[in-house]
Amino acid sequence: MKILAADTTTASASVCVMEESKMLARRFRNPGQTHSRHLLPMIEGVLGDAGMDMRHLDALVTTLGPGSFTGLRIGVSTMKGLAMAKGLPMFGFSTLEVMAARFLSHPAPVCIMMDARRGEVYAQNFDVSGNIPKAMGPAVVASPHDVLAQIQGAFLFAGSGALLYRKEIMEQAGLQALWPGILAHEPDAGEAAFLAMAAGRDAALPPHLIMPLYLRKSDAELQWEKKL
Amino acid sequence: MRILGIESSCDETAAAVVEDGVKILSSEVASQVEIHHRYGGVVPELASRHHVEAICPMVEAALAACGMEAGDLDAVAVTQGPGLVGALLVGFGFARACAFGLNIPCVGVHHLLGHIHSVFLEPEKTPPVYPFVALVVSGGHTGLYHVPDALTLELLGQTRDDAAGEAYDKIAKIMGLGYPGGPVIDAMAAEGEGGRVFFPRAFLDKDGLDFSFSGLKSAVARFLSEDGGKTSRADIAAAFQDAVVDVLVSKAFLAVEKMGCRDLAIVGGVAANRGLKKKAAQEADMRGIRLHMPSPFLCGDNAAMIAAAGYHYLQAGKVLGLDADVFSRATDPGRVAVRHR
Repeated sequence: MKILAADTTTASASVCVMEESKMLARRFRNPGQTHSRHLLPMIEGVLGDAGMDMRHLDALVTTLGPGSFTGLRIGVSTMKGLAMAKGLPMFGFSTLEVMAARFLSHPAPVCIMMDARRGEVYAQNFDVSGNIPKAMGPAVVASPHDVLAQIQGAFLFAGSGALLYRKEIMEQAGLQALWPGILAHEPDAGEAAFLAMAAGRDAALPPHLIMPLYLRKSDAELQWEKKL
Repeated sequence: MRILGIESSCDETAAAVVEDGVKILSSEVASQVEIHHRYGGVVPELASRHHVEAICPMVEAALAACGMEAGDLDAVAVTQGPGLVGALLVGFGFARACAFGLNIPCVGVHHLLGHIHSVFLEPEKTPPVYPFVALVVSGGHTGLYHVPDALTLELLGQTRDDAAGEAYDKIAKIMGLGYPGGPVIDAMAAEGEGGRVFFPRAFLDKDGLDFSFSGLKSAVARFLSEDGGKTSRADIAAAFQDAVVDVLVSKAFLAVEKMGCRDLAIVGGVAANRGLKKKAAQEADMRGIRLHMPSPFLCGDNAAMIAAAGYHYLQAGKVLGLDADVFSRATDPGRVAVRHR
């Protein structure tokens, strides 16, 4: 199976082309500007790097969020457009799961924390001791305090939220925090492609079933609920 | 030349296939009116979220309705702006990727130019002759344009505050009639007598072509609170509608006269308003001007008009690069064919 994967759920953007267990080409950029201008050129570039064009692909992979609402929609919409054009099936994975996949075979579980602003993080814990990440609970949007209160013992911490709230994590009693290298805190399309390969061709879906994962409702809905 | 049109600038997700810029093969629109209803206006984040859900089903439906497959398309045309950035990005990202995947050109259409091309899409109606004057009037826009050719808009005048459709929404909200206000007030006005109440018309500078609707909104609100329910709501709706229509029609025909044109196009969501249609037709008859107003299904946002305008972008070689982006404001310089006259 040959696949193209993309992630634009945070400030960084990444795309890759993978064939079975082999990474053929990968591009990453972290320009801190809109992904809208850069995603298609990156896709064209990475296909060229892999010596391929759209006709060679068997499936497309996108991260679903959580993350920047606009950023994740650029990725999801773009990949849906490609899928519709070529009649390709799609895979969609939570950005939290994709980030956890970097730590596979690590004996300690990992707590992925992405900065969700407003003093909150998008967070989820995964058992990464096996060959795919296993969620230990639901993905949440919550204060770092509430996330940390749920966990004990040795944990890896990764993500923009983990970096932002490093002090709170280090001060949390009963936690033994482990820190990966600085390059492990951004999601990457490579792990999304890997998860698709692990899931297998039969797990792919038609593009209309691929939906973003926001975790947080829109402000209008939150205010409406407050009024009720 | 069969073009897939895609529109997602506000609260409608639309896809259409149009041949040679004039013949609609299919046109599908998913409206989000129900979603935004309780907020009394369009919520940008919710609109964006629903575009992502609706985009694939709309494009699939538009292709299926004319028995085509994606591979049969010659080009993709998509609304590039103006509009809500988050909403635009869904259609824009999808459309450009779709064209890239099919290895066909993609063009980025100015939303208002799209509306103007809605008067070229009905074979039973004679299209306007260039140059003509266009009044674009909707929930987000109220402007008068001189249209010298298929790809140029010259701004003659525009609202200084609320769009006409926005005034309808706000009055409907004050009167507790729900959202969107246009169709409700139009229907209610038909039951009422406009002459029982008089609201001021904001003509501003008599010779000018700018509009203002915020004063009218305040006058209606003041009247409602002072009247205490003595006047029927139908009569108030009729009086309000008369005031809006009077200004729109007189400024539109003033523009036609100033530009020496023989054709006037009135397009956009408010062009479906029956009161406006009636008054504009009377005035056109009296002055010997050819009036062009699309059928209601082409007044609101749709993708057929985007594909129709897109045909002319394509003919002119205005094709998008892979690094193109959306724009939010109607007059963003350098990106569009709009210029001030």
